[in-house]
Amino acid sequence: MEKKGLINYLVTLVMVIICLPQAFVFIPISDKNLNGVTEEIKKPTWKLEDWLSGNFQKKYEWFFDYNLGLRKAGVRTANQIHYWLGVQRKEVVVGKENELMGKEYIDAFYGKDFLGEDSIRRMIARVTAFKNELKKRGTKFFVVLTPGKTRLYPDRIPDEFREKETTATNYNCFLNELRRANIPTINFQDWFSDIDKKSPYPLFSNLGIHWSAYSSTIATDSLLGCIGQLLSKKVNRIGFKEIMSSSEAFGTDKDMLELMNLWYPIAPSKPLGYFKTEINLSPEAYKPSVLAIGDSYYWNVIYTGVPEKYFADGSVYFYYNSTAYFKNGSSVPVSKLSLSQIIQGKDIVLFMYAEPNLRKFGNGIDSAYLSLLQKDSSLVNIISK
Amino acid sequence: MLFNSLFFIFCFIPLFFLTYFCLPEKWKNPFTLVASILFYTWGAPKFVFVLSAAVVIDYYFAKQIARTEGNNRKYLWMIAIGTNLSILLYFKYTNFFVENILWFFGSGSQNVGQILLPIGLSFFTFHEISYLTDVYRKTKQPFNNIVNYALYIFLFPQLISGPIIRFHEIADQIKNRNSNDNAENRLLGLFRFAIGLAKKVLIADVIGVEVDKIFSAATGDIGMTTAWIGAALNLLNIYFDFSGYSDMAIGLALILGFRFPENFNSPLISESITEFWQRWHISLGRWMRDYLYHPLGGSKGSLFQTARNVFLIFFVMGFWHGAQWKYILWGSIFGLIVIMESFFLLRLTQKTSKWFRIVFTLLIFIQVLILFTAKDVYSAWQYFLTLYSFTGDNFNLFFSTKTELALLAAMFLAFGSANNRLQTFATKLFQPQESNLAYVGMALTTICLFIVCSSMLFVSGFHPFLYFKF
Repeated sequence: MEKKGLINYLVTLVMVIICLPQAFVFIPISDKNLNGVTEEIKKPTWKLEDWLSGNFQKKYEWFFDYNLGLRKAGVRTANQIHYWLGVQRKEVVVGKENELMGKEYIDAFYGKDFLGEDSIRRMIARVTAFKNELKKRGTKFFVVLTPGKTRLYPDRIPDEFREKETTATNYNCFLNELRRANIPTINFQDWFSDIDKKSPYPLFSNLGIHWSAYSSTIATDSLLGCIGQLLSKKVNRIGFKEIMSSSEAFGTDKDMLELMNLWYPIAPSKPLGYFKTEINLSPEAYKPSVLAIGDSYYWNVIYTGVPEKYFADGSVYFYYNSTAYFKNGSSVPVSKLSLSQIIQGKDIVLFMYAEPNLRKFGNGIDSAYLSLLQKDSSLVNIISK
Repeated sequence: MLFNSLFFIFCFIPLFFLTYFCLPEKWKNPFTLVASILFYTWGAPKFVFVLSAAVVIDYYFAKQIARTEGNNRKYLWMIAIGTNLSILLYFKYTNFFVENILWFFGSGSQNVGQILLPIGLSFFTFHEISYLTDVYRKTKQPFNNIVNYALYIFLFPQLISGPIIRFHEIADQIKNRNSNDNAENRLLGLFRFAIGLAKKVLIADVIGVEVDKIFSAATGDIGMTTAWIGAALNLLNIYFDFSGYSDMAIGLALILGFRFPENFNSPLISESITEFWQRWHISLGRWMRDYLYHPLGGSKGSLFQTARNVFLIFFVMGFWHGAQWKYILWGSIFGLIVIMESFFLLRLTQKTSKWFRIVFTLLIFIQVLILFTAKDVYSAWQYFLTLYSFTGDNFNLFFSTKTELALLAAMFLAFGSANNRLQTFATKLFQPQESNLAYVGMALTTICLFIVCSSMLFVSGFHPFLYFKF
């Protein structure tokens, strides 16, 4: 081909490639949405003062970038390259043996978010007062410390994030203070450490941040056992039928992987176990009424079907004290509910928190409830602390 | 608008160039001028009026200078230069002078109300001075058309951070738009732009993250080894950031049909600081030589006068970079080193091997460049002390494979041209090629770099060019 003609073709080709992202704003193509927190960015309205201050331009560029055609493909390409090159991103830390971790769990493990002993002691004092008030009303209270893979597998923390281990962590301090205050506590972290080596299936999927479907089902069954013990009543237990072994991860077992938005997914490092369970509702078993307050670990409890089938009507899950999820699937903001009415008649109130969320222990429910009972002057001091 | 923003790459470039390519020759300059003003207005809408007023005033000043002879010509030129310098002084240096005067009289270094610096003003002023001086010296006739003159000043590839184009280098290209406007230059320009983008996004920004971590670490947290690594990375970061920007500017100009002078010529293989400054920010060095060093007498006077002129050049160069003591010190140190080299240091180092001279030069440059990145002179001094502290590290320095690859590429690009074959290859890379295959390779490389770099831009934050602050 003649040189000039060839160069013209090549220039056209490059220009077409540069024009493609703009073109795909108008040409719809099917492209899987990106996972994670996404926000809708609206086109800014032109105002002279915004223009002169440069705010309009900033917002417009942001809008442009966010709505550019092929953006999702671009993000996936960059993420894939970053994964291949071992670049750590703030959302997902890729640990050794492809163990995906949350940075906040690593920070908590190294005590970076440590609240200090005094602060934790004050929190536990409030919780103790809360527990005592519940007890007066016939409601049992207990705490569930959920496990974290960072504490379970500290050897898998990537070198980049390794620091000197310390005992000055929220986890250690909470554990000590809960023991000192005689608050019933299920420490799944310890339990997982004991059974990890013996377990036929991973307690954590390397692709997820939460406990695996396998381990959370076993833990939920133990939780039922504890509730039964606390209430001194027989409660229904999970009917385990069989375990399916899978080389593919499902649901929360790949929640971290999905956040990575890759072209080529990572495979689980070991086959994962998925229970087939059956509902065995015994007529003489008691259905407890439960208020659970906690972080996202409780979702795995919900996915087992236990709260829906085994708990009494009116049982509810407060997700961080922001949204209340009832067993019939409906949800309302916690602020729209009457806390005293919710707590009234509950058999069990439980706090379920993972290590990095201990800083938000109780999410203020304890203080809010105690405030409602302020008539008792002896409580005022504890609340004001 | 940044050259490395998605908005520039996927909105400004397609809209501007597709229109530009379709226009007849007589409309190309007016259209480019309008687009350049819009480009500037997008980033600094408040200041476009100041700059436009200066352009109009200088245009008529230059016409008047060309018409006048004798002392009046000189006075007119001086008034015009004074006007431009006053604008620069007001916007860039008022805060500095007021704060230092207040400090001197014991009122403390209180904030006296900040005057915002119009983006690109330093480069803008140098272009204005070049135009007025070239007309005054009769090197070139002034433009008869204000559009052409305004285009010289506002031309978007060089408006914000150079390269500093002396008027006589580009005057004929602006008047005669057909000379370089062809498909070959368009492809070469696109290729050069993509290379510059890759230098910025894939090398400078990656290394810059590590530099920021090290330079922002508390004193005492970093030991001697990390301090040296940080200082070396700082040099690579600044080099690839600025040379990447220059490549993008030169590439964009070439697509338009303008041949800009080179701004860098493998400076990291220089064998002396004098040579370094002939290879680093070349357009600034040439401007200083033509419009300051020679008028001061250059090297024609006594040894003392030459040394004084050299020192002044570097002093001004430092002060031009920023109204802070650290830049003044930075320029002054280089001035002193260059004087020392001309007196005796070069003769001493000539007795050593080439690689010793390269390493020696780099070690000096790396250390002085700390002033450029540190917050102020005191922080730079603290950092400098760490370089010789012989203390251990309390800093978790970790490079991902991406950083290691960026460093490898940086080392290869920075030092590869010490090898003669690679030097020849690099020189020919941006020139018209013999074979069709070379052009196909160029286009494919451009496309690949666009895809990879824009993907990175989708997930990265705001990374302005380091030289934008000047």
